[in-house]
Amino acid sequence: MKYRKIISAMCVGVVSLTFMSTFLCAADEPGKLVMKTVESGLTVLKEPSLKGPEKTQERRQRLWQEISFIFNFEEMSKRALGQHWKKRTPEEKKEFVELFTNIMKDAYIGKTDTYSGEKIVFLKEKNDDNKYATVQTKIISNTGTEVLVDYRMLSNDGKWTIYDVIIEGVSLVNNYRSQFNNILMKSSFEELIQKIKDKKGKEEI
Amino acid sequence: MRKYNKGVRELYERQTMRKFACLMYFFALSLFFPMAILWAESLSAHGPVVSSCETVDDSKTSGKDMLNKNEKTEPADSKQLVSERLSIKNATPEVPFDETVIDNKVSDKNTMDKDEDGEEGEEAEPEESEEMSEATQIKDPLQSVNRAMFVFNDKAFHYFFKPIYTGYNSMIPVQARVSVRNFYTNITMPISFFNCLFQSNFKGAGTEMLRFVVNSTIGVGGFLDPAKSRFNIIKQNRDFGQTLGKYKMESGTYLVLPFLGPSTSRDAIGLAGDAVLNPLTWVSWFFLTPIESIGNYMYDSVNDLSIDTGDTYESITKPAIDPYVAVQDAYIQNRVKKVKD
Repeated sequence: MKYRKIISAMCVGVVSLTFMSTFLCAADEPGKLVMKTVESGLTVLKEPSLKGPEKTQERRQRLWQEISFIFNFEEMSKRALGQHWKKRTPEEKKEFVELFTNIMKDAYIGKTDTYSGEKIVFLKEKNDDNKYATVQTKIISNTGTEVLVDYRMLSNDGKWTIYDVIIEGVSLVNNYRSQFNNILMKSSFEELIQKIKDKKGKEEI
Repeated sequence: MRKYNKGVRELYERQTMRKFACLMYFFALSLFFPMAILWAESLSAHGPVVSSCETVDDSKTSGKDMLNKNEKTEPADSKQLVSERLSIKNATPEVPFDETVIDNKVSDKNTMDKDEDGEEGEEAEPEESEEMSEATQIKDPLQSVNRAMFVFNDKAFHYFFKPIYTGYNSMIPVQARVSVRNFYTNITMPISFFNCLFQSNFKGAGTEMLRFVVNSTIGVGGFLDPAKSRFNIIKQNRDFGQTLGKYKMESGTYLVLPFLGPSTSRDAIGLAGDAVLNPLTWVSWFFLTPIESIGNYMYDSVNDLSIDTGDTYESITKPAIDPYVAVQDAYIQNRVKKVKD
């Protein structure tokens, strides 16, 4: 009798826990989402079958598949262009988003080639009425250096996406905005596009 | 005879001490005054003259400014308009003295208005305007000189320092390099200690003192960092530029210093202040020849480059469309954050 009670209680507990956990996952809080994505990215980087310089392209591809969905590149490009965004035609916008996505991809996926056991730790998250959120994390390198990385996120009908990454107080989007603004002040939008393309061409050689 | 000799030697030593102190003092002054003048200039460039907006045209790089500028084909006019509107709102008939603040307000207003106007809306981001006001204005009237210096530094990095530190990297294991860094950080404790005091951060000063004691004894003269690894006492990075910032000094003109990299007039004064607080400076003044002390500094910086600063530099400049602006912006943003916390 006694055992039966205990067993049934445990069953209820387990069942309710499973339900609870699915419920929690469905809610997908920004912090959890970021950490989950980071974890999946790290598993790709740690996977022994993808190690080594000859597997670079394959590894980058896999990593990109794992993590790219969380970034909102359109929002990023919009913010990076600032006031110039509104003056652009839809085609120009589309082209720009594509180019900007490529910059991000090359720059930051390329950085992972030298991954050597850095740890990423979740610090805290700040949620402003379910619209904007900031997730604070810390990268600890194997030399003990710590780098603070904040992710600014924005919710689209409950789907959280990253629109800015802030590394030690330096906002990525602001950084690009000042560059673009500086260029656009002296030259036209077409020239800016050309400059970005030139840069890409230079890297490939 | 002996006694006499000793007396003479003491006198001689005291005199050399005094000489060195005087030299140090002049050195500090000679750095301080040009910087102070620069700073004053940058203030006036910002001052009540409306046309300054056009004269420093291509040097202003902060996003907000640009927005302001690009929005209008005839800047003076619409600016006047907005400021008129503003003055009506605030009901202050006299021309306000502090143009900086007004500038900020105007541009904020401007962006806000824009957001309201553009009714395709894109969710009128309150956050964005906040971010923009956060980004301080970057004053860069010396841009041509700075750019030249930037190119020089960049070349020096790629063709001189990088080969050195990659070689050094391959020879010395990471742990050893980190130990060297720990040693230097431990020795330069007075910088962060005194700056903590200056910023009335007494807890931080205590932390620094404790770290110094622990690391110098248990940490074998600073080569290890048991304060962090064992006792979890975390280093406080404080410098004099930050202290000046805490006392509401503006960052001033953006400068690129040879070999030292990006700085502002305030932080350059800060560097001089830190040099005075740095025991290594005193050691090199009294005990080392110039060559030796340069070697010492170079070794320290190459060691730092090999651990992570080299990577940091490359990760900023490589993906950038305009590396000069990227570094400038990153530096300013980072400094703003450091002064804030």
